Amino acid sequence: MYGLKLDWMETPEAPYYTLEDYTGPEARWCPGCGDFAVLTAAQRLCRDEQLAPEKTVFVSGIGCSSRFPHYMKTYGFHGLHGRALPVACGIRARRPDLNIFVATGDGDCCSIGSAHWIHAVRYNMRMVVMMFDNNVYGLTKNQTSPTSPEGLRTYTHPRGAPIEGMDPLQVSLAVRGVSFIAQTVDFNPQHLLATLTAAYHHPGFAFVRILQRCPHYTPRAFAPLQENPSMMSLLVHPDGIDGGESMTRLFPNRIEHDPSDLRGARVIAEAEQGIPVGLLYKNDSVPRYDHASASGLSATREDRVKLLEQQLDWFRI
Amino acid sequence: MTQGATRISEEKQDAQPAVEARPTIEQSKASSILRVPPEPSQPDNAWIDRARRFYRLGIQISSRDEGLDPSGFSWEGSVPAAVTPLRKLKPGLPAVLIPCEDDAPPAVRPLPEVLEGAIESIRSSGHPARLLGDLVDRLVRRIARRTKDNSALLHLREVAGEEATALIKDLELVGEARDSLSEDVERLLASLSLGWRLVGPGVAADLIAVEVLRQSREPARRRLLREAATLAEKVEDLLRLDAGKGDSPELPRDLQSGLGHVGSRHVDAEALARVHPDRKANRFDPARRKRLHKTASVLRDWIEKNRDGPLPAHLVTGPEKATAFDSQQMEALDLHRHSRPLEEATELYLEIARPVVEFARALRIARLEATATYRAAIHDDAIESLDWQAIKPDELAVVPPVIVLLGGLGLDSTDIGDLSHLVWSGRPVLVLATGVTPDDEEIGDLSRHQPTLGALLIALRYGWVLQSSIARPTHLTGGLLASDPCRPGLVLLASAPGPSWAEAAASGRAWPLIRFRPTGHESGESGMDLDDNISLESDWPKFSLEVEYPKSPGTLEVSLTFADAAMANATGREHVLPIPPECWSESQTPLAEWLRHPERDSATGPIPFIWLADGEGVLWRAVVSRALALASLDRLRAFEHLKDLAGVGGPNTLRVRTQARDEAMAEAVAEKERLEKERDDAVAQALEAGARNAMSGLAAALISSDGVLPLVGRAATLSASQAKPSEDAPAEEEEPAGEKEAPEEPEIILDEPWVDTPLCTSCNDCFKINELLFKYDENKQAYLNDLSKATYAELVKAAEICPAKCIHPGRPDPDDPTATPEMIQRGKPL
Ligand SMILES: Cc1ncc(C[n+]2csc(CCOP(=O)(O)OP(=O)(O)O)c2C)c(N)n1
Ligand code: SF4
Repeated sequence: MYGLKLDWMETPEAPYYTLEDYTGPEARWCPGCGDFAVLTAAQRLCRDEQLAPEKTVFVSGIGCSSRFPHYMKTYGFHGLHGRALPVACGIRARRPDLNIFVATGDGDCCSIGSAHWIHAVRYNMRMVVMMFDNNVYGLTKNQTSPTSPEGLRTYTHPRGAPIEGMDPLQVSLAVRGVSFIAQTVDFNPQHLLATLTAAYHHPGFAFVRILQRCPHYTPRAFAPLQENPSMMSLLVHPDGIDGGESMTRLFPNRIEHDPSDLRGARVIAEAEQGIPVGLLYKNDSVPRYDHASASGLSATREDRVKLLEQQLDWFRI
Repeated sequence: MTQGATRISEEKQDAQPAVEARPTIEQSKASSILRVPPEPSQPDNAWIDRARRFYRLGIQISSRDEGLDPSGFSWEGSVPAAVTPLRKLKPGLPAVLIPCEDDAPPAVRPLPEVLEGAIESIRSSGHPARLLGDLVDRLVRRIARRTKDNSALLHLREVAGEEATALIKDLELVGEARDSLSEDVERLLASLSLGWRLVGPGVAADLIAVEVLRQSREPARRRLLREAATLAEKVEDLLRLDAGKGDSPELPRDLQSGLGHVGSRHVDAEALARVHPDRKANRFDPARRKRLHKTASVLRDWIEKNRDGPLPAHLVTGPEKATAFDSQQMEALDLHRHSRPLEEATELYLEIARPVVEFARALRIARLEATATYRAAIHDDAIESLDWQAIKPDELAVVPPVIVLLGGLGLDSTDIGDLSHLVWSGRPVLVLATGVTPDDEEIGDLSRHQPTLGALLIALRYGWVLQSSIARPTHLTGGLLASDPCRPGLVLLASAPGPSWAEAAASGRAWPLIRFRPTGHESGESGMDLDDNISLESDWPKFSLEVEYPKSPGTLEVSLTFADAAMANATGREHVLPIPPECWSESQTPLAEWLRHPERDSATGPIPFIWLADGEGVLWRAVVSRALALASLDRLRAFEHLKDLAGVGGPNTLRVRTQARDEAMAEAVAEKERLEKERDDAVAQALEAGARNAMSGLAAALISSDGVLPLVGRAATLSASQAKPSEDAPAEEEEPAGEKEAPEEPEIILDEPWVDTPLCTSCNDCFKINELLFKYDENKQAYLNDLSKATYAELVKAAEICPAKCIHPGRPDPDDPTATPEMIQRGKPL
C-alpha cells in the first residue's frame, strides 16, 4: 500500500541493555586487584551508552590485564604480546561501525609494544585505549617493566631497578598526531568511569593511563596516593572531565588546566605539582588515518568493477 | 522542537555486515539512514522534458500515461521525506485526562510529563529509579500503542501496569535489574490516581467530547452543589421557624427546662412570652411560605440529581451516523437521532436548560432569603423573568451538555443554514465535526483538504472554534477543557484515515490547529491561538535530515509543505512524479522555495519538487504538479491569514510591527538623549556640590581633634565610599572571607556500619567473607544488604581487606559475641 501506514509513527524498539548483558564469566584476578574496578567501569560505560554488544569489541595483548576481553560479553580479541594496538588499528581500518576498546598493560604497551604504541598515537584512529599501569609485569610474576620506578625490587632486579621508569604520558604527548591523553586511578570508580566516557566520545585515538593497583607485586606503588590524596592533582576545566561530587571530594588539590593547551599538558605531565589526574590533552581536529583507510567502503562489487573498467577504458585503442 | 537525525529504520544491524557497511557511522548503534543517490554525469534529456510537462499538466498526464514512474522507484513504502521527523517529535502521544479531584480543577497533561513527574517523585524519596528512567520512553510508546488501537478511554494505572509487566518480560531482564525495575514500577503505579484516563489518537472523538465536557463543568457543579446544600438548609430552617410559631403556648415551659435551674434565674421565660407580640399573627405570609417551600424543593431536587454520577449529556446526530455509544455503554447519556440534528439541538437546548434555569431562580431566592433581603416588590418580577441567557456562566455550566455529532464534509446547504442559525441563537451547543478529511477514493481532489467550516464560524464571531486533530490529543482535550460553556462551539477534528495522516495534515498547514474565542477582542486580544502548530514562525516546518551523500554524510534541509502532507494519502500521489537523478538540474527548486520565487509564474521559471524517501531509504526528487503547487500556495496564504488574525507574524502583523518598532526606536532615541542630558547636568551639579562639601568636610576634619571625617552631605559620602579604603578603615572588613581559618569539622563517627558505595571498586573481596551481608547495586557497587546476617568480626575483616577502604564497621552491638576487645581494637581505625 502506498502512503503513510498507520504505524509509521512508531519507532521500532531497540533492545535495552543492562550490566548483565556485558558481564562475562567471573573474572579471575587476584583479590584486591585494580582490574576489577576497570572491568566494572567498562561495563557501566557500555550500559550507560547502550552500546550494542555485537557492535563492540575489546582487543588486548598479553598480561593479567589483557585477560579483559574474556570477562566482557561482547566481541573480543585476545592477541599477541605487545600487539593489541596493531590488531585494533586493523579492525578500525575496515570497521568504522564498531566500538573499539583496547586493554593493554604497561609491559604490553610500553615495552614490547612500544613501536606500535607510538604509531597508533600518530595514526589517531578512533578507539579507547585503557593502559593498565601497575608498574610491573604481573602475569609472568614480577619482572621490571618500563614504568617500574627506580629501586623497585623485582625478580629481574632483586636489588632494585637501577634506572628511572618512563612516563607514558610524556611519551604520548611528544608524538605528533596525539589527540587525547588522560590519566585516572582505579580506586576512584567515579573518575575512572567519567574518564572512559570522555574517551569513548572522543573522535580519535583516546589514550587513558590507568594507575592500577597490583596487591601482589607492587602493593606500595599507589598505596601512598590512596592514603594521601594530596599527592595527586585533579585537573579541572569546563572542557575537562566531570565526575561529579563523589569523585572530586577525594582530591584536595586542583589545577586549572585547559585541555587544548599542549605545552601546558607537557608541563603537567612532568608531575612537579603532583601526579596529575584528569584530562591532559584533547584536540578533536587532528586528522585520522581511519578516515583514509575506510574510503570506498560503501561501493558495491559492481561499483568497483565499473570504476575499474572506466580506468581501463583509457587504454582502449 | 527537535530538528534531528532521521532514520527510516532502527533495527539492529547484523553482527557482521557486508562490505557495503556505510563508513560514516562510527562508534554508534545506528543503522540505515536516508541516502541521496549519486548524480550520473550523463543527463537524460527525455526525462528533463517529461518532468517539465508533468509540472504543467500534472494529473492529466498521470492518469493517461501508465508506466510513468522511473525505473527503480516503487511506491511501496514510500513517504515524503519531510514527514519522517514527525516520528521523533512524538506528537501522537496520548494525553492524560486528570479529573476534578477535591478542589483541583480537571487538567490534561501529556503522558510523558505525567510519568516523568512520577519518577521524579520516586527519586526524591530516595530511590534512584535509574532503569525506570531509562525505560520510560518505551513504556510511553507501549501505552501509546494501546490507546491508538482502542476507542475507549482507558485507565492509565491499569494500562501502565500491564504494559510495564510486558516490558519487563520482553526485555528479558534478569537479577538485580529486574528486581529493582519491578519495585520501581510498583512505586510508579502507586503514584498514579485511579481516575486518570488516557486520551489517545484511537479514542472515539464523541467519547472524548462527552467525557471532557463533563469534566470541564465539574468544578462549577461542585461549587453549586455545596452552595445549594447550605442554602437549602437555611431555607428549611426558615420554614421550621415559621412552623414552630404555631405551637407557641409550649414555648415558655420549653425554654425554662432548656435553660435549667441556674439559667432560669437570669431569664424569665414567662415574662418573655408575655412581652412577645401575638406569635401566630407573626407567621410568614402564604406567598412567602409557598416560595420558600418551592425553593427548598427545587434545590433538594437538583442536589439529589447531581450528588452522584456524572453530569448527564445529550448527543444529537443524524439518523445514520454511527457513534461510539452504539458499541459502548455510557452513563447518563441520551442519544437523539434526527434528520436535521443541528436544528433539533437548538430546540433541545432550551428544554434541557429549563430545569437549570428553575434551579438558578431557586438559588437567587434562597440567597436573598438567607440574608433576609428578599423584597417581593422588586424581586418577584426580576426572578420570574430570568431565562437561560441571564443566568451566570457558573450556572450555565451545569446545563447538561448538548453535543451534535456531524460527519463534516457531508454538510449540505440546509446544514450550513442550521449551523449559522444555531450560532446566532447563542445557545451553547457543541458541534463536533469529525472525519473532515479526504478519503482514498477522492483521488486528485485537493479541495477536499480545505477545513472551511472553521473559517465560517470564526467569521460569524459568535461561537468558539477548536480546530484540532486526533493526532494531538493534548490540544484537543486541553481545548475542550478550556471551552466556554456560555457560547456555541465548533470542534473540527482531523481523524480519518488515521493518526498518521492527521499528524501530517496538522504539521503541513493542511489542517492548522486553531483555538478561537470570540470574546478575545473584548479583552484586547485577538482570541485566536495558533500556538500548537509547529514552526509557527516560518512558512512551513523545517527539518534538517541526516543523510548520506554519495561521498560523505551530511544534512538535507527539508520543509514539510502542504504537498508533502497531501502526499500522505492517495489524493496527493497523482500530483507528483518521482524523477531519476539523470534529470536532476538547477532549474528544479524545492517547493518551499518555489513558492517564494520571483520567477515562479514565468514559462521558463523553476519547477517545484519535494523529496520522497522510498522503502529502501533512497531519496528521490518528485516534481509537483502546478495544481498541487498552487494548492500549497493557497494553504500558505490561508495560514498567513490565520497568523495575521492571531497577531503572530502574518504579513500584515509584520508590517504593523515594523512600523511600531520604528516609531518606538525613534522615541527611545529621543528619550535616551534627554536622559543623557539630564544625567550630565546632574553630574555637573553633584561635582560642584561635592567639591563644596569636601572643602567644608576637610575644614571640619582639620578642626576636629580625633581626625574622623564627619558626615557632611550625600555627595561627600559617595566620594568617600568610592575612594580606596584608607588605612584606618576597620581591619575585619578587608579580610576576604576565604582566608579566615575554617572552624575545624568535628570528626564524624557513625554508630551504624556503612559502605561508601561510590568508592567501591567491585572487587568481590567482601563477598568472600559474607555473601549475605553485601550486595551489589545496579552499578555493581557494594552496599550493606542484611545486617542481621553478619557479625561484627566479619564487618571488621571485610573492612580490613577492602582495597577501596570503603567499608566502615561502626560500633559493635554489645550483644555480639564476636565483638571481642581485640576485634574492637582492630575495628577502631576503620
Ligand atoms: C612475545 C612474548 N614475549 C614475552 C611474553 C611473556 N609475557 C607474558 S605477559 C608479559 C608482561 C605483561 O605485563 P603487563 O603488560 O604489564 O601486564 P600485567 O600482567 O602487569 O597486567 C610478558 C613479558 C609473551 N607472552 N610473549
Ligand atoms: S571489598 Fe570493598 S571494593 Fe571490594 S567489593 Fe567489597 S566493598 Fe567493594
